[in-house]
Amino acid sequence: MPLKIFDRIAGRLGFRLAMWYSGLIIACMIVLFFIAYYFLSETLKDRDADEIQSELSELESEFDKGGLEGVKSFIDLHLSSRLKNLLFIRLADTQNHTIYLCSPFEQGEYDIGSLSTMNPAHRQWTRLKSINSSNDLILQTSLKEKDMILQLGMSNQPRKEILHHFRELFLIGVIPLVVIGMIFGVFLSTHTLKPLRHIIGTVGSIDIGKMDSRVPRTENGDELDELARLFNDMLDRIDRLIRGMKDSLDNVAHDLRTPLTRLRNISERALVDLLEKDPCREAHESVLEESDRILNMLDTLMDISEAETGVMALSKKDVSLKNLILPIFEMYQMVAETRQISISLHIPEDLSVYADPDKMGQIIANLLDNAVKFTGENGRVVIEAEKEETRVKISIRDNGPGIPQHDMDRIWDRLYRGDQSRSQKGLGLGLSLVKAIVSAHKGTIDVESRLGGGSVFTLWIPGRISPHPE
Amino acid sequence: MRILIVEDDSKIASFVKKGLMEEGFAVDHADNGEDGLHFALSQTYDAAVVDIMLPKLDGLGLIKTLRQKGDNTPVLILSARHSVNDRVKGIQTGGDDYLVKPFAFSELLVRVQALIRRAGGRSESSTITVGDLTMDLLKRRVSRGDEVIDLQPKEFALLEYFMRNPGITLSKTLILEKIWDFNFDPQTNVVDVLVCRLRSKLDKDFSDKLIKTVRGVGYALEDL
Repeated sequence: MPLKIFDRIAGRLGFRLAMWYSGLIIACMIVLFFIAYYFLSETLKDRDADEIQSELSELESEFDKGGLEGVKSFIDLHLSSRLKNLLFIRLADTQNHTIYLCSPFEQGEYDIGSLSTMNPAHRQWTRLKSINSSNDLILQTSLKEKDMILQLGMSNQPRKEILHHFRELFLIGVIPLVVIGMIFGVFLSTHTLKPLRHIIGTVGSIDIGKMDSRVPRTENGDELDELARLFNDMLDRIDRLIRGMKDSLDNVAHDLRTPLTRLRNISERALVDLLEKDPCREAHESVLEESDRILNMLDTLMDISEAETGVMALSKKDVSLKNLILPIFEMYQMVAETRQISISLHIPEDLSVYADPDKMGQIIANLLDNAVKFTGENGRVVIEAEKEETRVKISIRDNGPGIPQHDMDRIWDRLYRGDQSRSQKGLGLGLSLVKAIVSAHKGTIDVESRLGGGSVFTLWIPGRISPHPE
Repeated sequence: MRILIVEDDSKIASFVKKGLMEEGFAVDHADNGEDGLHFALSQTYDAAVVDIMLPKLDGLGLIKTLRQKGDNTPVLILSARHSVNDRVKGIQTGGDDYLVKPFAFSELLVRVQALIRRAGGRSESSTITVGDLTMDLLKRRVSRGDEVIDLQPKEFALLEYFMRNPGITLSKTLILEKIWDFNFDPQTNVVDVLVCRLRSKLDKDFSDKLIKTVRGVGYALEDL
């Protein structure tokens, strides 16, 4: 669970933005640190070298003035105070035998003896590694014409200490800075992207049936506020369009139904008053039948329009597929019996779909109706259903005459009737309605058919296996 | 029996009024919602037929006010909207039944009579007799004359519906709704098939046909 929350946070644009920025800042700081560190260490090195050189020159001039004794007294007199603790001074004869040694180091810290075995050159720098620490002794040699070797050096320990402090300071200072920067970055980006999240929330809640939510505005005139404004305007326009569409559908229905009602009433009244044998009876009866047909067509066309445009109100719930189909199956069983068609149903008890029961029943009835209508005597109609991942697959199979290839693409079209269909009673709207309602349920429908080999209508409806459906 | 009609289309209103009066009802007519409400509150009616789209006060508003004032007159809603949702909305507001325009008068009559019967709460007797047909509802047995007729459940239900409304033409919509509880119209005429089966069983050994087809309207059991 905490992992999931982390995934969700990490997936957010704001978080990623803050992380990228923090990463960039850290990288910049590291580069900056390396540059500063390099310059500092170089400066310290130069300063040490300068100091060694200047002290060595001074020592040389003292040697010129007072010889070995002069040097010794100079060291005792002048260097005792400040540098004695730091400076290493060695005087040796031509054979490189140490004559005088002034060392601030502990016995055995450096292999001083090794200096005697070296072959020194004038102004040569020598680096002596410490035996028991990582420090180095850096010294310069001066060869005097009176065959005296002067060596003066200094440990790099103080320099390393300064650099060590510098590194420590960087780490102590930078880690909290980065953490604070990151937190602030996340906060800032989250705050900045808030309008975007509002838009996402609003879009998520929008449905054709529920168009009243709007994105909250910040009114500060930035790009995101502008986007929110434009978005709300767009929603308003869509809302107006849908409302207009709904109203016009309602009006058409109302304006057609009222005259149709009058028409029906007139014929009905006339039939009551006419004698049993009156030749006008048949005309009036036809008027009644045709008005029913027009009404049926009007209702179906309205349903198709509503389903296709998404304004159809679906009261979806978990329904047991068996309970849904069984009454329709029984209804058609009777029709099938009369036509000597065998009809069977194979649906698992625990299968349920998430659908509007009335609309779902209507499409099953339509498909079953077709199957029974077009399958001849001794035919067979089978209804099967099974679970397929998250969906429920329902298939209605018959061994009727099948659908000719040139009709296959057009069977879903409104008012299209194939050659076989023309001889039957019907409107040519059944399959259009089925397809529209299946689409409104976010399902799909497909047909497989071979001329002379029967047809299979297969639909996939979102559903779930539940042990206790409604 | 007194019935109130609230309908703004004068032709439809006069047709319904005339039909109901012929059936022996006393009928009042209002052509807008406000007058309708006034009528309904000032008099006692056995049932009311109310259109939804009305001037001044719409049908749903009328029913709502009526129910708020504690008036329980059974109401049949007339509407030009056929969707299930409109039907549900109408019933939730306090309507007792819903009829979509255009309608056959016989269907309106059956529904009004059913409403009045239900409101009266009269207990139904366990046997119904129409002509030489007798139905025993407890034993689920039907006989014509001395002959016992064996019926399947749906056939039995259909015959019971016919026998409770003798002489009245029952539309296919009414039968579908009553026998299968379906609000949609299947293309193949399932009702025809059921009536045909019932008819063959009832009339098999008799010369006079009991169930009559009324073209364009439905079927009726002859009230002998």
